[in-house]
Amino acid sequence: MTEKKMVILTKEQGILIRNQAFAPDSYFHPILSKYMEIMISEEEVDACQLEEFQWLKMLPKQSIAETDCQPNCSESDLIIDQSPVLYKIEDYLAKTVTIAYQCNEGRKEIILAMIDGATTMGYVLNMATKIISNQNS
Amino acid sequence: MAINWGLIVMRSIGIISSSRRWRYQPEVYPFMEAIGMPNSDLIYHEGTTYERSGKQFWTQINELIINWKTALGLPLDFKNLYSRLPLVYPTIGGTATSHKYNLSDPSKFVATFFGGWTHDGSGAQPNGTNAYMTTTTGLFVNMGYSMESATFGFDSKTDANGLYLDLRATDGARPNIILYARNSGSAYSQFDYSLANSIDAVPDSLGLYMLNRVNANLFEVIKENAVIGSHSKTCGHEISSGVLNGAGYSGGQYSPRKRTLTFGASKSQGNIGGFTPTERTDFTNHWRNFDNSLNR
Repeated sequence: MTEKKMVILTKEQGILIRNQAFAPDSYFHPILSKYMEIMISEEEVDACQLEEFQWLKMLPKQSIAETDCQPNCSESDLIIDQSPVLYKIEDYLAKTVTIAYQCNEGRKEIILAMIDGATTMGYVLNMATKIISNQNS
Repeated sequence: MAINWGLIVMRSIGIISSSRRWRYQPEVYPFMEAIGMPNSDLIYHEGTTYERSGKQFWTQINELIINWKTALGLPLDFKNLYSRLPLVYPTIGGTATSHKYNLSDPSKFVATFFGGWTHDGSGAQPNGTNAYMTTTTGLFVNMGYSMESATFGFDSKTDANGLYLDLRATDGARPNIILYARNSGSAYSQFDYSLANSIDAVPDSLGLYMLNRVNANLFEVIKENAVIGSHSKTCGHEISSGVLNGAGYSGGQYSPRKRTLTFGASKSQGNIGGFTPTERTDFTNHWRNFDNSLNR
């Protein structure tokens, strides 16, 4: 199993780096683990040049299974007609994730259907307004 | 008062501006910005020991940029391909800042990198965990280009077998371009909104991939100038396609494949069909020659 070196952040630390650049033309992109932990990659930490984020280099790097960093859709029922097209909408501050797959309908309809309880990866939110807001943003 | 005739001549023929700023090929300026060099007397100190080194430095950069332009841009232009390429990211320079520029027009479709990338002189490699790039501006909105005559692709330097998304653009909910260079031994691709992929066997995920619109009802998948598959799909509602994402997108399926090129080609609306076989061959050969010249 492939592992990745990741740095796990607290919610407060996640807020500090949200939408921030760590080097010229390079922006942090936090993702969630399947345990809803906020993570960034070791590459982001190592490449971080800004003094205000040097505290990141003091945080431990942890080995995380690649499949725990994002949905492993290669073996999931989210592949429709062998179409590996997946939508995932996440709000890491609210620690919410919604996953939907492509079908003949539009994305909004899929997500609205999922709010009522459809296939998930096991950690799905049920916040209609937030999902729709994300979709339209 | 003594008259500096040399300076006057240099200013009059455009070698040096009145503000003592050197003038270069247009492509030079983004590169200067990329490496953090101001075009000012901070570098060029006339009449000092720095004058000569400064002039030589800038001359060398100018020649370097011209060589790049000659090596890639002019052959493409000669084949009437340069104007067909609104998006060309050749990842030259070794930093995110230099890799963000669109060779076709450095002022448009500037790319932004998110997550963990490794940038060096041999290209840009996403980490496969959370890294992706985006062109930040919609592909076809306000651009007058057409998906009906589009060709998209990237040059992969990494052989990896897995569900890694290498190229993607959507029209809101609908994906218009999708390419997985190799998953379970096959390249998966969609071109225009479609549930059905073109699933084409590939021995590895190396080389220059292209999704090319053949006509209004067919697209083909190309790997290093060899057609590996085709798929019937009629063009539809693609004109409002959004940003082009490389190596994944915000939400999952990140690719670890190192790349030296991401590109998009198109003609104006009303035209049908992307690269012809001849154009595809020309583009592939010119790109490969250029890329090889950089030893990467």
